[in-house]
Amino acid sequence: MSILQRIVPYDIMKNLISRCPPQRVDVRMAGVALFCLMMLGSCMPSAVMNSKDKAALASGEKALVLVRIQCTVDNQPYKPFISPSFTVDPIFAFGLGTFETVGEPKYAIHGFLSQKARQDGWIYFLLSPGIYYLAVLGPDSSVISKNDSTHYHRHAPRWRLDVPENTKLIYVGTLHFSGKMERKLLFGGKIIRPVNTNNIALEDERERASRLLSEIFPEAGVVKTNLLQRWRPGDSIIIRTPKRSKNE
Amino acid sequence: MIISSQNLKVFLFCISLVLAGCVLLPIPLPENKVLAGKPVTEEQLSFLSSKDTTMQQVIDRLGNPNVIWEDTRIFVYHWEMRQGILFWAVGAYYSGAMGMMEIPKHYLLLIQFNEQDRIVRFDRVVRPLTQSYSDFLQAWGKNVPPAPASP
Repeated sequence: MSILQRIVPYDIMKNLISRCPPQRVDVRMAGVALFCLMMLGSCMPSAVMNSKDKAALASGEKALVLVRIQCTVDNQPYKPFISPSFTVDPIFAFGLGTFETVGEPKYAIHGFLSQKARQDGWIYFLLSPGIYYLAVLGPDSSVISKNDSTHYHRHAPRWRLDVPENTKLIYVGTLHFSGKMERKLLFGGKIIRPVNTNNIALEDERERASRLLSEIFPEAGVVKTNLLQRWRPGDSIIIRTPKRSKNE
Repeated sequence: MIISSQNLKVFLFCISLVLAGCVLLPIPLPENKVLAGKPVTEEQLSFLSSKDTTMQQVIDRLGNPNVIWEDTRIFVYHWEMRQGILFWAVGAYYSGAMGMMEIPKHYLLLIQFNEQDRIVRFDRVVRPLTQSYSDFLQAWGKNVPPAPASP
């Protein structure tokens, strides 16, 4: 385990291990080994909602926070979450600043509600009530090598995200990113770099978000819209003491 | 000569690093370089002593705080000074690497307000390198006395 802990970043490892039943050590090891293979194969981990997550969502302990990422590369629409392969690298990674990090974003695993939602750029985070800071790295074809670095997340565009209590489903907005293709690689891969990161548009697509969420969670109730607020260096970081869950 | 057990441990640790091909040499320096943030001097704090000082007056004098801990009504101003330089070198066989890094000292000015937005207490403190920012804030919020800042 110690060698794996050196290879795999601690936060990612902790997240993966927490998703495994404690009595199934072999499952944990298999999961970590699979993760290492994914990393070697240039894959970006993304969360799949397990029974523990569903229970936390049903009890109101956590809220599902939905964001949509839209992207253009060289002024042409570009799918932000294409399944990675040998020649296609992920181009977006996310960081979340919390009370524990005093707003400093650290790498966070995002999830997809479905394959169709992924294609359309919808991602989600499961978060306890509180104030968070969302940092977005991308569109950048070398995002894999940057996503574990606090330095890159610190300098990425950042938004404040408020998760109120007693809310299960929250839509926080649609972000429009632009990139440019610097060149193509021998096997078809593309080198993409972000542009215009100071002016990232935030769109309100609450009706689409409501439709998507009510299809997947018909009994979860109303979808609350709480749009992201851009945070820039020099602005105050606002933190709020997190409510401890029953399990903690 | 009598060597205390603590000194002996430090000595053995340094020797073990040398034997392993590592050298770490911290050099203390006067705190005259700002690594991050905007320092708040002792002189600037004199107006805080009055219990009538309001939140707005603090903002007017010191600017917006770096961190606002909403529910505990605490403002935090933070800055980093260089307290020294750490030289390091690692070598083995015919290869090696060496470098230098600045050792920061994390200063915090913490101000707590009451419901009427007036100062309840304030402290200019140093956060230990070994303690996380949030742990330090929580300890201060619970009124656990922190280490005093050096002048």
